[in-house]
Amino acid sequence: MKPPVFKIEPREADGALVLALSGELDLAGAPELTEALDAAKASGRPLTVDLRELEFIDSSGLGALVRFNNAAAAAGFEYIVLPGPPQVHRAFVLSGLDQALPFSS
Amino acid sequence: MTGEPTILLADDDEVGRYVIATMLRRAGFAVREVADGLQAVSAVLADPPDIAVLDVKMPGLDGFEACRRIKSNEATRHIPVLMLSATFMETEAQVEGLETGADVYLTQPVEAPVLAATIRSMLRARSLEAEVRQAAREWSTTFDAISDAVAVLDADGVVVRANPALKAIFGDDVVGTRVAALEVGRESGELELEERTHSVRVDAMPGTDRLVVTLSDVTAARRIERERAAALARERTISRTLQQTLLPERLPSDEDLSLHAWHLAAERELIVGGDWYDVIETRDGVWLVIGDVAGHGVAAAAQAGQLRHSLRVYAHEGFGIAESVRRLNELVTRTELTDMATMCVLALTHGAEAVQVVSAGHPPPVLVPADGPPRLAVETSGIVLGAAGAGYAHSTFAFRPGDRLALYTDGLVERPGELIDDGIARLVAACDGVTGLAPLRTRIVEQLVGDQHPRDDVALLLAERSSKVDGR
Repeated sequence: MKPPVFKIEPREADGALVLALSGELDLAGAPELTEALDAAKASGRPLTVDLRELEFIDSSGLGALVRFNNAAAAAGFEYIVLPGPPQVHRAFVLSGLDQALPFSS
Repeated sequence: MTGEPTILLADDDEVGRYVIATMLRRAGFAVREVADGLQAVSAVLADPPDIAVLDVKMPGLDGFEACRRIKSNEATRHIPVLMLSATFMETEAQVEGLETGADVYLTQPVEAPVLAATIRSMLRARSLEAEVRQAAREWSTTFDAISDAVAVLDADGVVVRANPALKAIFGDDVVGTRVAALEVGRESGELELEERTHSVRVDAMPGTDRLVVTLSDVTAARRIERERAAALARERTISRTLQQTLLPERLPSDEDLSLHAWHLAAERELIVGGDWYDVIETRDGVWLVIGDVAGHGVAAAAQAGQLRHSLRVYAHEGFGIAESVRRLNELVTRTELTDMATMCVLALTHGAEAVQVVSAGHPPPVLVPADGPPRLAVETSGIVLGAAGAGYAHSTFAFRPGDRLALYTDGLVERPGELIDDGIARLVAACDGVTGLAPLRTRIVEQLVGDQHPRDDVALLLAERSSKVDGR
């Protein structure tokens, strides 16, 4: 079985940018995610962060999203997050970040 | 040997010489002829043949003397000499011939096949000898060239051979003496000589009672090892010092509340983590605190230390736990102190059952009631420290006499490939059916940590409200 490598796939959807995350997001993938998110914010286009294919997230991954959320809030940049599968979303619930990040229902 | 083997033939008797030379040429040898011993010696010196054949009886320098001169000259002594003599001189000549160093002695008349076979046998012996000499030269060159110091010792420990590296250590006249240091080194495997460290290797020489002792200078390697060990020790001192600043020097105790704590990194002195616990005494009770800064190492530990001390300041300034945690979050987001930290704070009031709790994304404490199965003290959690503008509210639960609480960090309940809820469920189950705090600690560590080294740091803080005091 090949290890689930962390990947970010950018996609266009109705003029909006979708960053689809898949695999395992940890310390190794966090810098890449931060870079992709910052670039998306700089482009100024509407952004959706899609976690539906994500298999795992640890505190480094959560940290990257929190940091981005802080910067986005400060800059008045709006975006939405599509929640991941249960084991991924559980990490957001336990850390209270389900309340802090702009999850779409 | 290239071409046909060359033979120098010396005989004053022309007929005899002709007969022998013919035999040799027919057998495939190149023959150079001289007529007396003196010419033989100078011809051998001038252009060494493969073999010299000398007639014993020659005028002037006879065969014996010529042989003696050839064999006493360093440059020609390796050339095999065959002596030919008449039968009537047999006995004396044979003895004398051998004494002069001749390799083979033949008496006349000699048969052609015997002469040729004898000479071929001498050539074979010579070629073997040459190989041995070559091997000896190679070995001797190697022996002298290697930088390790090598000595050959006899059964009494006397040095019979030493290479230049060994002589450089023990002096040029070491051969023929016993060296006490070598005896010591043979015992211990290592030898300190004038601030150099040598590893000592001893090999028995097969088929003899001699030993080969080899000293390798390992001073540089040992110095690197020592420096590494010193650096490691320094790092551990830093870690230990930092870890100590993370944890209370002592846990307060009073008759109402017993406390017990365990910290993996502090116990094993191996990893520094960002996990900490604290017990803060306030005007009307105590705060129980447990927290975890994301990441490991000295930086995480330092950040945990800052959070711990800041919370103490807020507590002493009289803020409630929700406001204190909000202020900590401000501190974290404003100063970028750390990316993220989780923590859980419980405020216990003397004489009251109600306990306030605020969680910033931290796994919930386990409540072990005196009269029921263990369960999670609270179900909900606030946001982790690090999200800008997060607000916090406390919730309340009852902590009655005889009840116990377990506060912990996620290293205790997280296992790769499973939901953290499963780990929490395991912890809750482990808390069942054991009394006291120390036994509870033992049970939890046994069942959740076991013998394996967890991937993450673990901190554990246990509390028990005394059942003797009337919990009014």
